[in-house]
Amino acid sequence: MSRILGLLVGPRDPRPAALAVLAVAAVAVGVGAYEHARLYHDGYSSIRWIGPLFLVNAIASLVVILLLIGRRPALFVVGSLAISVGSIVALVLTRTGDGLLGFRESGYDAAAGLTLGAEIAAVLLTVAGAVLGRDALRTDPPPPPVEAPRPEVLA
Amino acid sequence: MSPTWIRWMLAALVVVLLGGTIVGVDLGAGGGSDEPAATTAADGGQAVRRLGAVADTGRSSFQDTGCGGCHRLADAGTAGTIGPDLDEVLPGSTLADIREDILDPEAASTPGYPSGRMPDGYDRLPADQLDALVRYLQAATSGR
Repeated sequence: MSRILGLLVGPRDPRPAALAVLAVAAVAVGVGAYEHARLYHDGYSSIRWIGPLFLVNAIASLVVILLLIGRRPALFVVGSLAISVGSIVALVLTRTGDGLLGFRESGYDAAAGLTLGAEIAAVLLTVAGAVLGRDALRTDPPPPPVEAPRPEVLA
Repeated sequence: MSPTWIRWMLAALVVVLLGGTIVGVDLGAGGGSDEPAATTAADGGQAVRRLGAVADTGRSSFQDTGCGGCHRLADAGTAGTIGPDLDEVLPGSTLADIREDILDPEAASTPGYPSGRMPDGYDRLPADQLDALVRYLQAATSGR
C-alpha cells in the first residue's frame, strides 16, 4: 500500500517524449477546464448539482496540471483520466434518457463539442504518455540527493 | 534559467490563466467590443437551448397554465399585459426569487400592478414541472 502511495506521490522525471505527450494532455485538460469554468459563469452556476460540479471539474483540472508541473506524472495520469472520463460520461448522460441529476441537454453546440473533443484528446494523450513513460512511472522515485557535509563540521 | 524556475513560471501562468477563469475574471475583456447589449437577447436564447428538454417542459408548463394570458414573454411568444412584463422584471432574478414569485406572488409586488390578481394553485404543479418552469423563466430572460 505504502509502495503504491510512494509510486503515486514520489517525484519522477519520465523520458522527454513521454513528458511532451503528457504536457499536451495537460493542455487538453486545461481546455476542458477552461470551458467548464466559462460555462459555470455563463449561466450553469444556477443549475442544481451540475453547476457546482462544473466548478469542481475546473478546480480539479487546475490541480492535476500543477501536479504534472510539480513532477508528479503518476498522479497527473490518474487525475487526468478520472476527470476526462468522468466529463465524457457526464456529457453523454446529459443527452440521453432522463439526463444526469435531473439535468438534460440536447445536441452538441460549439462549447459542448469543444469540451468533448478536449476530454477525448486528454484521455488518449494521457494513456499514450503513460505508456511511453511507463518505466519511470512504475519504478520507485530516485532517493533524494545526499547533502554534502558542511565545511565547518569538517573543520 | 534552471528547470525549477521554468516550473515555477509555468505553474504561475496556469494559475493566472485557469484560476482567473475559475474565479470569473474575463481575460478577454478590454480587447475589443463595447457593445455587450447587442448579444443579450442571443444570450437568453442560448441559455434556453442549453436547458434542452427542461426548457421544453418549462415552456409547455408556461403555456399550459395560461401564464402567457397575463404576462409578456418573448421566448414563448406571449404578449399579455395584465401582469408584469417578464422580460423586464425577471432578468437578474435567482431561481429562488422566481419560484417565490410563482408560489407566493404577494410576497413581493411589482410597482404598477395591483396585488392579489395572480391566480394561485401553482403549488399543485408536479415538482418537476414547476422546477422546469422556474429554470425556463430564468434562462429565457437571462440575457435581457
